[in-house]
Amino acid sequence: MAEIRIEQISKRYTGVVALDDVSLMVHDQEFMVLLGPSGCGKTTLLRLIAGFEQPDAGAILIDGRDVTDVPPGRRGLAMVFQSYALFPHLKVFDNIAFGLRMHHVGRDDVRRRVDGAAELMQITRLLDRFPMQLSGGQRQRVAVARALVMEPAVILMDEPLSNLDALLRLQMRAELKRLLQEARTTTVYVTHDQVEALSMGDRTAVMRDGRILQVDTPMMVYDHPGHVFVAQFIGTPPMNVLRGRMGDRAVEVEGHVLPVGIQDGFQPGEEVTFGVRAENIAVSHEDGEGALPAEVGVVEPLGSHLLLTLALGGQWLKVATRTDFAVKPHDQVWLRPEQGSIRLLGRPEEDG
Amino acid sequence: MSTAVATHGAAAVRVRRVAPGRLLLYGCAVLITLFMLTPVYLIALAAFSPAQAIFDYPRALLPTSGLSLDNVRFFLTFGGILPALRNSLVVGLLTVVFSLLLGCPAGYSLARYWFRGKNVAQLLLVNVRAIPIVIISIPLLVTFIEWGLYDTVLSVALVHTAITLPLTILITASVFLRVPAEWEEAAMSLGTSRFGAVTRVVLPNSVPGLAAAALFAFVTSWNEVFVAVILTLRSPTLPAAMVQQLSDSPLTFRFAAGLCLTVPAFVFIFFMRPYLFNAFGVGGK
Repeated sequence: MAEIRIEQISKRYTGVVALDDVSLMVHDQEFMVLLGPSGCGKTTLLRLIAGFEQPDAGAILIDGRDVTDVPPGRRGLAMVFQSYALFPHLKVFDNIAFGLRMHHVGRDDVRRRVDGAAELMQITRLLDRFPMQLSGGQRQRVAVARALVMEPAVILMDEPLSNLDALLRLQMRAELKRLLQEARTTTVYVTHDQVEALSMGDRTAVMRDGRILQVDTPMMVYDHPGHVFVAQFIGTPPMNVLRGRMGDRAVEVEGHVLPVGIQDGFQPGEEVTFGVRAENIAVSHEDGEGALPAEVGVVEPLGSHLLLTLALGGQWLKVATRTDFAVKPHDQVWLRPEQGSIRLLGRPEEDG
Repeated sequence: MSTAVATHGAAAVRVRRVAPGRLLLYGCAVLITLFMLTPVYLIALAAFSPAQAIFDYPRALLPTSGLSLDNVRFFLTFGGILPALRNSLVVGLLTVVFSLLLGCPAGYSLARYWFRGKNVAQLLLVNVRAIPIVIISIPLLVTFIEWGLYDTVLSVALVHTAITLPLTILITASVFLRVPAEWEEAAMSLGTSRFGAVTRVVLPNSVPGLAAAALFAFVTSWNEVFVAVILTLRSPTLPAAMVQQLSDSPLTFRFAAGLCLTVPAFVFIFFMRPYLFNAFGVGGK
């Protein structure tokens, strides 16, 4: 039961800025996902929380206590590593019991708690094996059991699912989410997989170049990205990002006017970038009120839907539609973005 | 083991299908083994043959003239040999202990930390071996006499440690480099100190590499003559004792000596051998 407060943390490695004045608040029992491409600083931030690295500036508080100078083992947290980091010379039981023994838990309690954690992770029959004798998925379970058995105030996870094959990852994703909800532990979870971030987190902090761009619930990050990068990093396919000119509560794009209802601080006549999700655009063969003409470039049937890549004047965008929509390349179609689905993202020069 | 037998059996059945590369590999292995073992065999043969058989011509390659323990018994009961053997063992083991005690922390810091002058330090370590011991032997001798260490096994072990230490450090550094830092971090996040993480996680997983380092230190010390001769008089190691006596002793004595010098090193290697390979999970321990 703990909240984590990260205050203006900076960290640089010989000339490279890993974290640049990052502040973040993780609430008690919250599942916070740090999401970003490799090199964005998410793992560095996690390692700072864990205590493996020291920040150059700033402070980390767990439950109001400044732990910036506290060694990892005294912060009341447990970590699950990407490589699992199981101890190869110890059997599964002793791996799970390791932390309890370091904290001088009595022999009977160790037995009881290890058995409990093993049962929770369904690895009771593996307790007598060495890590070398386990599959990747089993090792993953042992690593989680080793962390959970400590009943930590905070659990840190560094891409725990990235070494599993796709099917297993899907299973473990749901199982981890359930376990951590039941454990009611504050969790900080690092991933580069936006699907994991959307499906698991209470909130997601999207990072790039050592900065946090947006912290929000998954649905807010998905529906209301505050930054072009966030819009394009999250979602499959990524949000369409188009350029246009601001009008009066409308955006003018390739000579057509799209009503947006809001002004968002932009002046009429200003160049803007705006985003719209592929599934929020209706496509049809007939022209109509406010419809935009576009030419079909690529048609990709994806089973559940049809993904069209279209040329709208000089700009490309993707649209998802029903699989029975009969269309082939070079057809002319008409697009109608759903009302309220257009997100003003910024000015083109800010795209970076 | 059983799988090895099985594949050998299969290979015998399909002997014509064995790839030429594999045949060449095994051929080379056999040749190298013969090259290494033939002298040892000849020494052992001579050591266990009756005295006059050594002068037979042509020399028998099999123990046709009967076996005898006379030579070896004569050698071992010869004055000073058993104490010298014991000295050699003590010096060798002390050298192993000292070089691991000093080498492990040094190797660990080379593996885990960056510090100013690290590359220079690493280079200097290797260059220490380039200093001829002959040059420092006299000052060393004087120092040991002043310290009251002259003619003790401790003095020889200290110098042997100095000789082996650079390579011990480099070996242990490479061993520790192969232990993922994440294991240490996992241990620390579970409540150990860094030192605790090293003793509880790093060292147990470094046993094969450390065994190799120990082996190297022991064999180096066991074979070292020069320092042992300079620093000892009444308590020589086995090689030192032999240098003193070998030139004016009979041929039979020399063969017995050669054998007795070889066997303990073989025994040490034999006991260390399992640790040279991955001790956990593999090899069905």
